[in-house]
Amino acid sequence: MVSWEKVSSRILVGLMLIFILFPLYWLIITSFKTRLEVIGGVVFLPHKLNLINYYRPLFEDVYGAYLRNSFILSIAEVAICLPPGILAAYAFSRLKFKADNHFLFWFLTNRMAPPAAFLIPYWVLYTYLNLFDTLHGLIIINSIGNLPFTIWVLKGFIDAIPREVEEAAYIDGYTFWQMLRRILLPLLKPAIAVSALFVFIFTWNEMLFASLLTTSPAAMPLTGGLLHYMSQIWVNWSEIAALSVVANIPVIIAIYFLQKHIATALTFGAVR
Amino acid sequence: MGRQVINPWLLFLPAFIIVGFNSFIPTFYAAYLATQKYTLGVPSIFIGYDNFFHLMFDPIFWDSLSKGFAFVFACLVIEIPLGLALALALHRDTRVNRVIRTILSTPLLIPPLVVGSIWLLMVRPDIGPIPYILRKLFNLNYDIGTSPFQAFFTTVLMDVWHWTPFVFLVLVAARASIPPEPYESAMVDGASSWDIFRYITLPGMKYGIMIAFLIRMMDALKIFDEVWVLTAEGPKKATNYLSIYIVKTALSELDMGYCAAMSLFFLYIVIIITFITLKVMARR
Repeated sequence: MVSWEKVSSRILVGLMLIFILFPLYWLIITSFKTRLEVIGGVVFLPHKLNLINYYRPLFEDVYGAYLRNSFILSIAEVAICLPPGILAAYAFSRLKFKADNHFLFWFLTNRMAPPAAFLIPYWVLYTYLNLFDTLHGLIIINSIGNLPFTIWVLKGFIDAIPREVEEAAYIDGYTFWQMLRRILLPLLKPAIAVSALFVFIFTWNEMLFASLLTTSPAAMPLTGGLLHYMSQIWVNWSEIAALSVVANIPVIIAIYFLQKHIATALTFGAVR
Repeated sequence: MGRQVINPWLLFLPAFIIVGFNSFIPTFYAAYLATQKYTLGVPSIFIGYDNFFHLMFDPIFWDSLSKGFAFVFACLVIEIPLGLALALALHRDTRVNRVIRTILSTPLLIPPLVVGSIWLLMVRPDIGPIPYILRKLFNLNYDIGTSPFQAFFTTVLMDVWHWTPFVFLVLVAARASIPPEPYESAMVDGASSWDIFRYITLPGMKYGIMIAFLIRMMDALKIFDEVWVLTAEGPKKATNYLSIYIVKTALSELDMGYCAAMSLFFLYIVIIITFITLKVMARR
């Protein structure tokens, strides 16, 4: 017997799949069309695929430099956030200290704060401090959300490791740092990889600071460059589509590894 | 644990210094800027609370705040029921469901800017398939550049595309946390499927729904990138949400003092919602 609930839920899922996938399909085929094909009217199946839109902006224009900046920025952000994040997450998970819960919540409020609210003071401060239009300026400002994120996610993972493992190490005469290096870090390896990947993606995706606190190809990441491209008067939509696809590449790789952790990470461990 | 093996402050301090510098200095600096008449490039003058006074009587500011809340409301009204229905349809841990879940969660990690550019390609009147289909089928003119309602609706549609998967994943996890026993005894008692939903599923998922609701509310209130790309402030300021208004004012009028005052106000709103979220999480 086929119940109407089953049928209606199948239909719902089918419609949702189309709703989610069609815009992505449209982005990808637009990136393979020529400029004239795009302007010439709506075509759902392109006749042939050409790669010119990928070649020109990345190799003849400055977008290759923006792409490089995005990579440097995201990797540096991971390097800045993980070591202090691991230590603080351990302190919050295992040790008691004065007002620890208040500090933990304070970290989260920084993550939750609207970036647009921080933009104005940073903008003025950065011009005074000569951090305007520099990559290290962007690295600093991105850590305001990413470091609290690292702490919250890693704290959840450390909470899940039984304490006996560490206690056995201390009985064997390990100091804290020896225990950290030989016992805890190896156990945390997958957790560290997951949080590193998330921090990489968040930094890679960040646009507000990237577009307004940098101006030159020496410092501007891809998101900033793409936004500036779109605000020009004479716009080639298929190149925008191609650059958008390029900006998506790390995401497509990451989603495979992060699938199981997305709900946990985006709710700061409230949902497992 | 009886003794502390290492001073916790030593472990906590590096992170505290980095985030502290990053948040205290700009916040206090914003508080200082808010008391100044400061146009970028011109020396600032102390004007006390004038910026806050201006804010209280700035109709565009209140309009932008109410547009923001209308946006949040529209998004939640669509995303929560849709996410719930999908979660119930796909909660069983089969291979097919896992594949569908992965596909449905792709929008979550896409850069918000690219979400904006994808929807711009979808709805631009000259090149987009949505206006094309609506024109062909219903002879309807769809133009987010001129119609305030269509611009608002498109930002909601974009947010539904981007974030319903988040609600869905959270609610799948919430559904998975309900033990099977109540369902089994309900089956034995011959309860209707509506009763099962009303008295077992919904109460069991209450916490997950609350979390999804609060986090979505916060994120929707802060929305910037996608809307900035798609419509910016929109026709007749239809999509002039708070982040957009702050950045637009900063860019066009360079009035940093007033922008700082708005930023602080915005910060308070979000901190209050964060606080409520944490209370809910802590009660669990």
